[in-house]
Amino acid sequence: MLLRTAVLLALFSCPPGPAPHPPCGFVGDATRAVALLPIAAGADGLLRALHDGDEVQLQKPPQGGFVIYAGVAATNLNRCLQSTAELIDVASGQPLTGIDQRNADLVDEHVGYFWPPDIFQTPNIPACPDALHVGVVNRSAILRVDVTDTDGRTGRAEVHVTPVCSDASCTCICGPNPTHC
Amino acid sequence: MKISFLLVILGACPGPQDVQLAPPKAGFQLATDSFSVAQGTEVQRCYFFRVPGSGTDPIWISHIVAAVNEGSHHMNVFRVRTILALDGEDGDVVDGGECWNSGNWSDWPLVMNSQEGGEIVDWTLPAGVAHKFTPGEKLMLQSHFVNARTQQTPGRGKAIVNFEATSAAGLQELGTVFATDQHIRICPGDDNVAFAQTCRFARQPVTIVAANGHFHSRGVKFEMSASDAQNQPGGQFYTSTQWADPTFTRDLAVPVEQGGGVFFRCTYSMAPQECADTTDHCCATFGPHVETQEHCNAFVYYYPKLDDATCF
Repeated sequence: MLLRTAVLLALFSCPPGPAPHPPCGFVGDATRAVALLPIAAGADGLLRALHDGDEVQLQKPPQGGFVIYAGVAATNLNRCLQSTAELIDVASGQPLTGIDQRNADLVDEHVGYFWPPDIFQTPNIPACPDALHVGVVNRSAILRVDVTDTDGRTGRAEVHVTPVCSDASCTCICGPNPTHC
Repeated sequence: MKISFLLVILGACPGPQDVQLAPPKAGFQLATDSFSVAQGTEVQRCYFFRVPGSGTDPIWISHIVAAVNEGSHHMNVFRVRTILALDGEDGDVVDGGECWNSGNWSDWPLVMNSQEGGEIVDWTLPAGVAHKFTPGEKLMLQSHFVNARTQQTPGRGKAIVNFEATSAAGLQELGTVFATDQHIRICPGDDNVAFAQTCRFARQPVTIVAANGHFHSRGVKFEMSASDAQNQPGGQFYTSTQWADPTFTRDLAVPVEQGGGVFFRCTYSMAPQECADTTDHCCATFGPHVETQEHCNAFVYYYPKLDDATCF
């Protein structure tokens, strides 16, 4: 009885541990090529699959500016990988944004792909303000995502998207003249 | 009797002294008061100033000296632009409260920063380059001291910055970049987890002359490189493995091509038994509190100035 009480006390007196996640390892079919599914977060923060012609939401992080949470779900690779994402201007072929690069542990299988658990493991593409004065809002763009897993497998996904704002402040700051908003 | 003796002994052994700096002969000085930083606390205070003088002739600053007491986590000076919640007039101090929030900083350009608590940063800008100020312009000095588990303040909090003017002609204006990667999360057991971004700011070719990186106690390496117009990083010009007193690298001459900028990467590790935010699986996410949160901020100084650049 005393031992059980002590164990229970010890359990409840410790701070919660990290969210459990499986160790790195291959997921999918090793005989097939790396497969990537472009994804992005909506205004509700939930990650969804992207298709050519979709809009991607410019969102305000805590300290200002606007970013796009976009990356990939993937299969047929090690679920621990590095993901790099940016927007490319369709007209010029030049980058429209900076890149964001981060580690991801893909955990949840959904529609045949393994997804990052949250936006912390999904690239936060720095989009606005644009000091180069090109502006990203409402431009036709390609979301380009490159992945390299911990075993060295690589892959690239591209999808045509349009970055959009949900308010006038965003439209100005994400336009070509953000210094006068 | 014994108590009196002890008091005499203690009185004869004063604690650490506040930093002192004589004001510059030409130019201006920003100085905070001396404030207490109680054991187990973090104190963040925002001080508002007006650049002295009148008229419209600019004041050109070519020599900056920053002195902050030991225990300083950071001292940042910004130009005040759009007002949302944080504000003050010349001489006002905001202690905590809105000073912890930074929602209106996307257009408060960086002026100068120092993370070297207990030491003096003495920075002479490259020949022919100077910081430009307007008389009456409003500035904000933010001072953050920590006296807790991760950092200690043995005395009191205080920060001073001297801006020494030059009368030289034909100067090129210094520009600054403040870049921050905001959605980061580091959890117990994470080993060398990295977050990286590019901040594109060079509408014209520029030269980076100084830089420093900023993160908290889980940070193990901060790296910066110039990036090209394709977002590709070039040669690395900054590396720091010190989170509490990271190097302020000066005397750089790093070219950045048109369309390029800076690539910065923060790498973190966290021991399995460590705990940051008890409400989030002991993980650390973006925020100013050293004990429970993390940052990944790059401070870059370059010339000639283009826009006031911020990357979020």
